[in-house]
Amino acid sequence: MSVANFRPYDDGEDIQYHDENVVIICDAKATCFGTDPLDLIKEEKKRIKECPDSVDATPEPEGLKIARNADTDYQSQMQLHVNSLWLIHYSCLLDSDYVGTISNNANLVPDTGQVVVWVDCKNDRREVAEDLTGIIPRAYIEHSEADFRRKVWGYLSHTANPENGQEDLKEWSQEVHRTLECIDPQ
Amino acid sequence: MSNDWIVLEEVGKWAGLEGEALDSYLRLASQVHNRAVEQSGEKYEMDTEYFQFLNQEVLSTPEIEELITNQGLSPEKLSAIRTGNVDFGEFLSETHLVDYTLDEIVDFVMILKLIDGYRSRVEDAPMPLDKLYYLSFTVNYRLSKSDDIVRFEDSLGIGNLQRTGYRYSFIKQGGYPFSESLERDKNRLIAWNLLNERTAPNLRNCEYPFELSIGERGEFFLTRYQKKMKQFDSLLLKTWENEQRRVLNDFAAEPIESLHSFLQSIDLVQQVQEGNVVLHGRPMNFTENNEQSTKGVNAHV
Repeated sequence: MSVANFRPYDDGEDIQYHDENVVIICDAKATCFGTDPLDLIKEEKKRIKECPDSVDATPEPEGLKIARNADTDYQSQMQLHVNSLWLIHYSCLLDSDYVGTISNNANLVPDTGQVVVWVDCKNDRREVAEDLTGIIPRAYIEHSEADFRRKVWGYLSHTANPENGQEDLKEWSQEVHRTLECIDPQ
Repeated sequence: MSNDWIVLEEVGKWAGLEGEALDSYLRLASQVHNRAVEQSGEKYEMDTEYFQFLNQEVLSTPEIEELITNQGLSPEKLSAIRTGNVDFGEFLSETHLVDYTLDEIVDFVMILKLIDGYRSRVEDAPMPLDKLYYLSFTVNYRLSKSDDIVRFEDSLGIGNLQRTGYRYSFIKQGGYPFSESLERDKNRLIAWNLLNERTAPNLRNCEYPFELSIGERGEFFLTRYQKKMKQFDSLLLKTWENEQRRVLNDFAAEPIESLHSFLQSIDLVQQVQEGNVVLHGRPMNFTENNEQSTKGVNAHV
């Protein structure tokens, strides 16, 4: 979703349909436990049993580029914050010059959003996950595919689904609206 | 109630469910949960009684009982779920705990003190990121060259650095010392608002275009613990702190070129090839009872 299309839900609004925005922060060649992250999101969306049509998950695959630019470009920062589900590849939090920018912004995601880091390196996944603990204190760091998928499915099925997460969606959108106003008071 | 559904997953894992069994339980538990919110959610103050709600209205329902029976769960856990007596504190308290060791925390505190000491010597100017690497390296290097607290077992030939100093190992990058683990800890401090980092594209002769300053929480921390932070009682920390103070006195107000010259004059830095370790971090751990345990050479760059 573009920032221009973002609008906060009203308190009394009955949300029938929600266009969920998922930002994927990873290198262009990275996969998610061997699967294209876009496909993985589609697969998890299909597993939503209750009213899957009321939620649409629109992924933002250019997440890494946007996150990099967010350091100096306020429009990129705003573009990042209209996403409520952030999926971050572990490699972006290691050995990179922009980890500070990613973590600073991820820490601004409202409680009703979700940040999940996936660790799918060949070896020592558990150790890498431990190393990442604390860089984004509120993030879930998952080193097994099943646990990662459960976090994606759970968020789409519960919080992002108007059938179940009506109030959460309102709270998230209103908080993000305030964040955007702080970034660009115009 | 944001993301509280994750508790259901944690209950399943705590009970011992895995793979497809965990997925099936989670699908069913989610349905039961959502139905229960609609039917009896108003009876509970969800902010404070959410666990009670889960026990009474979700976990102890016949549907959940049917699904988890014969899944090989321990009788105690099965009974706790059936009777609505799951003790959430038992497994949730550690789920999202950011648990750092004493050694990591000491490093964090010393970085804060380094940046605090720096700004007091340069009229509150932020610290170029290059200087964080160079000054912390210099502290460790000088500790490795002095040995007033290591009388007996300097088996590694690294003087006081065997027992005190940063745990960070430094490699040679771009001709000068750099530490990935220090970089990681710096980012942790930024994430907690203990430090701030901003881009500084016009820094002259610096490799990294960033500047660091004390964050909002860092200011609070330094003010709240001012007395304790001013002077440590422990001999090991005092030795580290004294060396850090000397390094700041010598280099804080100096231009980056002075630090470059100093670093280039160090044999270790000169001789090591690019990408290789210049100086390992402190190998011994602090312990809660003031003794130390040997860990071996810290090869974690």
